Amino acid sequence: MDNSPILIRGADEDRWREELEPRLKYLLDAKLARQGKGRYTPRTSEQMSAGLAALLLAKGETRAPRNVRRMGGGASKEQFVFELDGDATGGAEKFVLRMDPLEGIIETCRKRESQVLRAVHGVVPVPHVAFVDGDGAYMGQPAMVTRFVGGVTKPSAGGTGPSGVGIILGDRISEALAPQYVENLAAVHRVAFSPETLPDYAAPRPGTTDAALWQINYWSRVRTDDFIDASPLLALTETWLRARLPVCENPVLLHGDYRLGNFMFDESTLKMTAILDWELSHIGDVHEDLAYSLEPLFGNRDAQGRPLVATMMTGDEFLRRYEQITGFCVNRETLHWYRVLTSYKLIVMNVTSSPRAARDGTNHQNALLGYLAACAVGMSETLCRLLAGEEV
Amino acid sequence: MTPNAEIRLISAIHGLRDVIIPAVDPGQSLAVEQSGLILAQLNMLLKHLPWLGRYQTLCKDDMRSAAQSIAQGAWGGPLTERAASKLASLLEEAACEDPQAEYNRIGFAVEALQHAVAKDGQAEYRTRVDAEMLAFSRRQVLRERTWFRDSGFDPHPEELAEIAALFERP
Repeated sequence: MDNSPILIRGADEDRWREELEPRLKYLLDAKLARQGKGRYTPRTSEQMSAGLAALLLAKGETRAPRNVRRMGGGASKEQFVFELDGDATGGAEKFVLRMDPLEGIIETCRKRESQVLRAVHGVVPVPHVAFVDGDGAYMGQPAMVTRFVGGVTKPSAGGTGPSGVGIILGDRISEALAPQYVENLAAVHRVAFSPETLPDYAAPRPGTTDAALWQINYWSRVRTDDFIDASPLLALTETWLRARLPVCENPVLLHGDYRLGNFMFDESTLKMTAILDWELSHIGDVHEDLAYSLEPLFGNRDAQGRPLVATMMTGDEFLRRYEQITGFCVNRETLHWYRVLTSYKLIVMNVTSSPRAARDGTNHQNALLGYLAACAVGMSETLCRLLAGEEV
Repeated sequence: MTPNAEIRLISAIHGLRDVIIPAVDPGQSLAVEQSGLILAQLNMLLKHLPWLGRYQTLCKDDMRSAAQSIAQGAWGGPLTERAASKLASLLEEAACEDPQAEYNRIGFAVEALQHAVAKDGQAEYRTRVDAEMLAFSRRQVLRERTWFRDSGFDPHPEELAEIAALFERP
């Protein structure tokens, strides 16, 4: 049996695989080259301590890391917390280390993540970048260290499922956080960027379909590289998307994974303390971030059965608030296109990259990735409804 | 036959639940999380076990049926003609014994036809292919949602029947 994805698209296979951000293409090429070359063993605290000491020393930090220990969560990156002794006035400083496993649900770049965190620092609450090992010279794998930020991603008393799915904020918290959720997203979209501030990013040309095309090319490439099973639904979606590429007049900085579970808040003040997980950030169409927040998996439903964005507000309320803050007029047709793209990329992550890493043992959370793949069935139901033009 | 797969799986669940998990240091968050997920996965597998062959066959049969519906009457340029011809010949060949392998063997050819039709298929035929594939996908998604209902991810679990209902004739 010939399962080669080359047969699926024919002679123009190589051309579409090239049309995406150069840095992301490099990352996917590198991933493809190392696939099948070994398993990944989760690092111990002792191993991390040794790598961290070398990294810090190379960056001019003379204090040695201590009390290095693993953090919970982190479906895509290994996460550890550690301390550095304070100065003569006392008080240890706490840091968070995020390090790539060999493969995971997404393939991203610590250099880009550190660049975007620096670009948005002071605009929206984010962790402060302390040290970066972009190519893994010291840690063995690419890594980034940020200062620890206090807060929670979910109410302490509430339950949750894997990767932040299943969090419910409740009325009191929602009332306080909903405006901040929209205001912070709008602020991200207003951030000025340049090749100097984001050297590993590429911007799509304004007034073209580049923004949309790069996304569909990227996620289609992920699918063909990590192929597991045939899916006429994903093929239908890819051809549907390619036939309707929307023009993006004004590309902006996008978070790329803006949803419940990817921000922290202080339970006493109900202020957002940090927006997290910027690894999927890129420059693109505003509608992409808006559509992502509308994905039902990242919310719940109210008593009338209406889907709630991040369990806080209806989709209409979310869009109305965004339009009020920004003066931007959401194009419903373009939003629909990006909702289909959102479903496509989330399903691709969960039915290709995730089970492949779980099967090959190239992640630190293989059991989680193997289990998480099942969440794609709910997304697939959403996708079918979107393609059929039904209410979601 | 003895011990059968069910007994082996149940015994592994007992060992994990009653011996391994209680011994895991609560401070080892990765081990705590992974052991809980492994237990949930094994319990879901145990529930799937009696139905696995029938489920895979059901999915495979519907894939073949959907493929038959688009392989006939293809209309378009050389890419479409070639992909439709390839799919038709695969459907005539002897099927793989493994239903999942057969699902993929036909499914890959269906995908190739979908991409070909998007390039040079006649508009009316493309509309038919898209409609057939969406209809198949909705049936397949409903099967998968039912199959994975216990994973806890489904947005509307109340819509889903028990796994046994998948095999009842309409």
